[in-house]
Amino acid sequence: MSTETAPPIPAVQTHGLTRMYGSIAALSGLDLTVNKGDLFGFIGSNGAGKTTTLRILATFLAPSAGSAQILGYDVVRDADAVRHVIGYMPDFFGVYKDMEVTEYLDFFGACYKIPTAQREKTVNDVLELVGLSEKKGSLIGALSRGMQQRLGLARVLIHDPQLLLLDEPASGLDPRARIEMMAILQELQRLGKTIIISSHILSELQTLCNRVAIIEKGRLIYSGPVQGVRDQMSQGRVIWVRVSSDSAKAIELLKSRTEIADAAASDGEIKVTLAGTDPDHSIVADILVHGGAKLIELREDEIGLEEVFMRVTRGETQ
Amino acid sequence: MIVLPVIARELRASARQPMTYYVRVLGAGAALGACLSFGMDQDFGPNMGGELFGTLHIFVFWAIWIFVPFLAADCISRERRESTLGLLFLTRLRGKDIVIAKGFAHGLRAATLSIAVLPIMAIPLLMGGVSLPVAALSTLINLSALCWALSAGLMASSWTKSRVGALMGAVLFAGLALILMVATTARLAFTVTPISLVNSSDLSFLEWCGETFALLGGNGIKEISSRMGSPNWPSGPLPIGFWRGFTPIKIPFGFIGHVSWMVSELAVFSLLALLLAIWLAGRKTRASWQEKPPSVARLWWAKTFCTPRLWTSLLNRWMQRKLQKNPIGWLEQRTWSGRLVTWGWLAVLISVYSAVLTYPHFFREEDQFHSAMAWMLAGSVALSAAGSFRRERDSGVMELLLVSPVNEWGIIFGRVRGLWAQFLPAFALLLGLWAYLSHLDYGVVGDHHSNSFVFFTSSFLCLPIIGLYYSLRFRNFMSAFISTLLVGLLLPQILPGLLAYILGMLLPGLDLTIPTYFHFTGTSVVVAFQLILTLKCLRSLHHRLQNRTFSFERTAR
Repeated sequence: MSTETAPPIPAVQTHGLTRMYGSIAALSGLDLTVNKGDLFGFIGSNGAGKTTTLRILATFLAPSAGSAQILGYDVVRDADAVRHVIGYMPDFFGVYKDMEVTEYLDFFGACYKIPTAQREKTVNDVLELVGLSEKKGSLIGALSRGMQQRLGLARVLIHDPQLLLLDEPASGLDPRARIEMMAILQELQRLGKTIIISSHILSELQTLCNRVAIIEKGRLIYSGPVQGVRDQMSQGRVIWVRVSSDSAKAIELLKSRTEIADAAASDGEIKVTLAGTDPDHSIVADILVHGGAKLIELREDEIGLEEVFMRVTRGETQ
Repeated sequence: MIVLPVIARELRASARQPMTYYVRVLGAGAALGACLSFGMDQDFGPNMGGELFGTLHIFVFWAIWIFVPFLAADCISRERRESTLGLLFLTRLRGKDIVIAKGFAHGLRAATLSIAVLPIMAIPLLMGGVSLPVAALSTLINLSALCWALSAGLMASSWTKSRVGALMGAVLFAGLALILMVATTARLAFTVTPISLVNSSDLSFLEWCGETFALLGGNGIKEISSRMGSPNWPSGPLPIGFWRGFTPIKIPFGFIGHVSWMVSELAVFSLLALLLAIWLAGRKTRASWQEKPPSVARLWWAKTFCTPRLWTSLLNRWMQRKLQKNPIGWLEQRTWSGRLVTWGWLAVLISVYSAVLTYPHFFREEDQFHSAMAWMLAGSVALSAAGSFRRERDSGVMELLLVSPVNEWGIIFGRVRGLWAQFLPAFALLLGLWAYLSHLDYGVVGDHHSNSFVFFTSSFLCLPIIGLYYSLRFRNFMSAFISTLLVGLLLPQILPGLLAYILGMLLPGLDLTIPTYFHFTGTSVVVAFQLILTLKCLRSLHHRLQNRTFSFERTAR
């Protein structure tokens, strides 16, 4: 019996996507692929081109050059079809503050041509999904930021889109609201939605997303699995070592090997910098044990998404 | 001075607003238009300067009353909306300091409008026939009007947080301030001047107020200018207007001197009124700058008078039907205030017509009355349309609508249909009553009535489109409203005549008589221009929506 998994089906594909604002290129030839079912993190500094990309995918902006397909539909030629399959949540609330929660969702339901009879049930369902059932009759202006954010998510889900484009959905939320928002997104992924999420809170994207893209000055720097970008950045990985015996001797031992780029004492520990990209760092333990040093602790200074982001970007904007 | 930084900030902010310059250009252009229209009507003959000066005085007086309250209306309420008022109160500024600074900045803004009109005002002075006392009289009257109008704007702005509320408040306060100004002048003429200017046995106080009104904002200055040269002025026969109430004084400059004395007193009182308004507005601003939950009384009012109570299930079904058919238009009629516009206008028309039909002279002035109502209704349509897309643009909902299956044409025509539906009952009733009463009066619906019907029907259809275009085109509501009135109502009336005049000057032999295929030839040209302008606006509106070339003022998270 074959154990091969089916090849991933692309939900979003962009080819040479470019957007100019006058002489300034907000996006320069972006090639991006997001597969169906992905929870895709879109990372970049302010002004890097994330919002522009999401706006093009949402059919709000037309690209100056290049193309983008969403579930096989071209965002320019088949904009109407694209609008039915996407849900776009911009980086602002976009609410009528004097409307009631259900009224607001009812309005957008009508915009998506959901029949009146079906709308009430749909509104109730999405409110339940985002945990706002108890606020049905409340005025939107009276809701907290977190609740307004959730309402925004409920609006995105009202027509049951297959792809969600979420621009900074967790910005400005308190830790509890953020965690709840992330839990909802995981639940949506479990329900089979493809989600593209742009965020500055990289620690959360790291645990939430299966794939990420890093963009700077409108250009794609990396796109792929989260672990992949860590590995790619692992050159010069750092291992921290604690020995009970003479640490100077241990440093000597480590420095004598070509696999080790550097070793130095630091706060009672030894900071070992590996020379290669081999993810296996047992070589450090081997050297020390065979050299007669008594190893107490060995831990990798794991590179996080934030560290990766800081290494690959310079924070430059257009 | 503690208020100087606020004044500087205000002036800097207004210098960055295109509206400041548009108003100046518009003011100077309109004054020039009034001047040209006077010349085309009566020729720029010798000694016609007095009459022209009087015409321009009327223009400036009403420009102050229209622009100043509106321009000042949102100055404090905006700070409150954007939560910057609280930051000002964290400094050493007091309520009245803020209002003084705002008042000074907006007064200066209004003064620059007068400076823009000054070169046009110089034309009648150069033509001759304008005496220095008359010029001083006009200046004092307009200065007084500026004080009252500014007071109205500042009071309205300190009263509310909402932009629409402030604008509506400005209209109410301006109306009240105008009445107070006229009443003060009338009272001063009776008692405060060295001699009573009023032949009080002939006129009641209310009638005298009417005469004073003519002096301040009507033909008063024109009359004084044109008759000052007459040897038996003003004791000779005085056929029209406010003269009949004046005590005959033999020496002309004695008379003008006393009128000037009265108007000088008015200027002092106006200044005092402005100071009082600043004090009141300062107190109100100080008392209400913090966000407070609505009071129990307010909640009771809202629940009792602004919540549907009767046939709610019918209303809900009806609104659901509207929502399903046209969600974008539904937004116009969703709120109680939106429905109030529809049914309020209907109620006003029914009440006003019920009242005036019992007035014995109604049928003598019937046409003017119908026209006045139709113009007001058209103004109301322009007001609603000019502010229509603003909320969607400010809140960011426009961006969400543009990525929904409702396309650009759907958004435009959805909202246009919503505006039509909002005003259709009132327009239909007004035109129906007009036709019926004209028929009663004349036996048939005459040509001049047909002309008016065609023009106002066309205005009803076109104004929502023009207003929507400008609501997207301009950030500033006043710019949008003025442009809608200008392009939707004024330009179609002016352009055909102006075009014919220019063509007549360029090609003297050309016969510009419009063939009379229809009864309403003149109106058909006006309507044709209106339709052309509307189509242009419609095309530009679609283009702007399609290319997303409109500015956002979104509330960020």
